Amino acid sequence: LSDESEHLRAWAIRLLSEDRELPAAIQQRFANMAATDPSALVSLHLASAAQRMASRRIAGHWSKR
Amino acid sequence: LSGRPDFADDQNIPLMTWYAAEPLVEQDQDRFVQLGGGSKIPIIRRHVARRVASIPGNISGIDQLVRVMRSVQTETHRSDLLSGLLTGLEGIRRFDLPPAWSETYAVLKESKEESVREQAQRLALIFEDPQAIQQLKQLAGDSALDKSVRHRAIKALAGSRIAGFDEQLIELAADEHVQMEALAGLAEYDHPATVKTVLQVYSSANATTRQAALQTLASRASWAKALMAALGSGEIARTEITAFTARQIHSLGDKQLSKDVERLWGPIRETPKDRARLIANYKPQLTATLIQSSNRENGRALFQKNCANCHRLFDAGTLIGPDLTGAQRTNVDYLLQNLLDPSASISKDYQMQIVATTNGRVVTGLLIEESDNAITIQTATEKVIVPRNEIEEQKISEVSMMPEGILQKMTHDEVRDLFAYLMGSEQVALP
Repeated sequence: LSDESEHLRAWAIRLLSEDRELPAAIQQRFANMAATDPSALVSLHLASAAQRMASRRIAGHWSKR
Repeated sequence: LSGRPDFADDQNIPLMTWYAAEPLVEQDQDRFVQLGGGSKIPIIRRHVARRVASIPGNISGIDQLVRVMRSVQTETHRSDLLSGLLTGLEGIRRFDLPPAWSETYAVLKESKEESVREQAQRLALIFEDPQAIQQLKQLAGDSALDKSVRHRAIKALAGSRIAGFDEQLIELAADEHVQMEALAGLAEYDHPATVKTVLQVYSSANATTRQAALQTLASRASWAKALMAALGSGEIARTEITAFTARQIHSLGDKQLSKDVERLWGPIRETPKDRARLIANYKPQLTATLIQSSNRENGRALFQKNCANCHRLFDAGTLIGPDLTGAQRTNVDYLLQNLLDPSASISKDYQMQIVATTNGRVVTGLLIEESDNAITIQTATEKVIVPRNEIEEQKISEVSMMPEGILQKMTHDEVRDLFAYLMGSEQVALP
């Protein structure tokens, strides 16, 4: 996540957020990157990860009912 | 991400961020409004405001947005939030006044951006803000002001059908500077003095104002009956009735009125046999040689009067109906068929809707927008937004929005001039 290549950072984000609940520390890390990372590619992957997290949260919300 | 101005113009990031943030509205609306209202990305601000406003009866969310609007940094910010709010509330005539509104409105109405002031005013009318209504009524009545300011005030008040404004409209109908707007505005109300007022000012009004007055009278069956009486007695000349007004009266659905208007104006819809005969009659007068020797400038003037209200040709006209520039204009048969029998083939986009409202008005025109709360009808003269809960009946007319009988009102020379203009390859000057 702190590699100097934007491609590697984006790839790491994708891999981490693919199919599981993220640990709080990584969520925090993502949030920091969203605020400061200069790369559009990285931001795009963060937005995509955020969508997946949001839909997982909704799914969880529904199954809890 | 929503706080990053550097990606505001990116193709994907703004919308993807919005989709990720959207579910938050149900889990934590406060945070949603804070995040979205303060976002550095315009599209997110607009979407957040729209999403909050489109939840039925969401007074707490709207109140919070109104409060955020006061604290944001720029006028663009405010304008985005206002336009999102208005989109979300579209088709809703009234909404409870949010507690934070009056303090925010005091800021908004002093904005140096006209779009902010104008949108704030529209919102104020939805909230029925008494202070804003009072101010607008004053603008409408102040004869020392510029006409355009007064016109906007009248349109805004009548368009929102503010209670009690019809009394003032009746008075304003006597004021030549705002006469047309006042007469058009009266269509929104069912005021008992409307017919009398229209007839009083009719003969002294100019041509466009007279057409607006006729549209108003043709919008309700009871008024249309009075109009037919005035036509019968010669108080209003028959030639004043255009194809649109005739058909508007026809679509009110009153048998007696339909019969009367046919007697005065001619058939609203010819039989196929009559039409075939008409086409056969016109054809010999429209040979290539005859068309070549006719007056295209005069043709343009005829186009301007009869067609340009809905059609565009070359660089002039309005796009309510199809643009004619690319049509098969050089084909006489095609033109005759479409002018004499416009309803023979109508594309779905141009089917006319007839909408009767719960307050007794009948609106005819094209359906140009549909949302959960309202439909928007483009009539021959204006856009009318009808809230869904005010629709009493809605049907699709079997005839085209384009009226029949346009050529029949012209002389043979005029028909030739019009065809010469329609078939030409370039624009000409008006005579």
